[in-house]
Amino acid sequence: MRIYKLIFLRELTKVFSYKASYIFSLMFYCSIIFLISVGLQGQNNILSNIAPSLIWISIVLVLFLTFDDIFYDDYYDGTLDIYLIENITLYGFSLIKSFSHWISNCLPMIIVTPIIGIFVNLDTDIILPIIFTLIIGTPALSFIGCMGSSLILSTKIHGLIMPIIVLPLFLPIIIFGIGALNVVIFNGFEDLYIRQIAFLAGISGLSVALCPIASSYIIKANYD
Amino acid sequence: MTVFVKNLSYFRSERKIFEDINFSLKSGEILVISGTNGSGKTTLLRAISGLNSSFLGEININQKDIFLLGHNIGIKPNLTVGEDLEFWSNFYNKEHDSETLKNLNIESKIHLLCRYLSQGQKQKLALTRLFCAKKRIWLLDEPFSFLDEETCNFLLKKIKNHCENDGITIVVSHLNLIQNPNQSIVLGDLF
Repeated sequence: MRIYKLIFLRELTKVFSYKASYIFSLMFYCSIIFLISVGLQGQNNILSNIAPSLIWISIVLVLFLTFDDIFYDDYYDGTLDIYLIENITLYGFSLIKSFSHWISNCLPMIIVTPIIGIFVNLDTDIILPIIFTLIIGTPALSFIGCMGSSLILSTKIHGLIMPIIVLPLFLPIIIFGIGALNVVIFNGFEDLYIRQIAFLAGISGLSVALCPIASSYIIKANYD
Repeated sequence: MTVFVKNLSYFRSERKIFEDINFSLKSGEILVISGTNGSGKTTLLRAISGLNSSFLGEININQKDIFLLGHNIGIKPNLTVGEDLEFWSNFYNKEHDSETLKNLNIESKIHLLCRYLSQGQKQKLALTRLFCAKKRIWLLDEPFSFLDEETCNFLLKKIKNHCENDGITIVVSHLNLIQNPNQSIVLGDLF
């Protein structure tokens, strides 16, 4: 457990100290929202109605760009070889990578969402449900994305292949995430909202439980 | 402690990489594997280390005793030398020997980002990990690459000490720097 904690802290150090990739994700996320709000200027009603969809889709688009190199560095620079020789399980490694991806990419976007909500004329009553829905739903995006990243590990094909691989798996998350928020916007809090959130939590739970297992088998296959 | 390899063969897409490799090493022995480029030296070492399991034959080695220093040395360009040293020291739960760091001239570069190190300096940093881990079986893939003469001699001395302390060393190298190894294998050209 001590070693897994060390690896996790090293991942966070890499991301937050020097690599600063989270800043680029954050800037890209803000840029998408800002551009669309500029494009729909003067149509505040439309903007506030589509705000949840806009936020969810922007997050998904940004995340597509971050999945390429999740395992790539460790696989090609020999770090993974060392871990494997030291009996670090690929399951544990995938879990750490996925979780640190969520912390370094999704969490900053969730944190700035209330601020950039101003651009899309977001009703203050909807801010808390949006944050809550994102916290429940985005882990699934990170964990599924990491699984997709392990799939393209030895192919050296990057770029547009990731969206093709993971988009079908993202669809239920996007549908339930946006659906839950639309229920709040148009109908207020009600049973349907709770049910959609429960589905979202279920998908996230399954992704957290199963995707690292799948990733570990896929990475192992790359070695043989 | 022994390393035992019997009838080891490796095929990739029905193409033979190496065939019927046999050797047995006991404590204090050195094996040197040499051969032309592409003859399967690295693949053999990876098979012995357990990283590659799709081979034919038998390998008997205690996995916990292995340290592999490969071509790719696991150095993160965005971390400082100090962070790298600290991480591996904590990872192996052992302290770096300050004398070794001094000899490798690493101490003065603690605050430098690894991306600014030359290839030789990166190799030296990887060597600190080898000495820190204190494993009994060293698998070294071209360990003398990029190193200056002084560091090569230092490494040779360390290998000798390691074997005198009942360690086993398997070195893949195309340089004949190791004099009188206990065993040697020359892999042939594949093509």
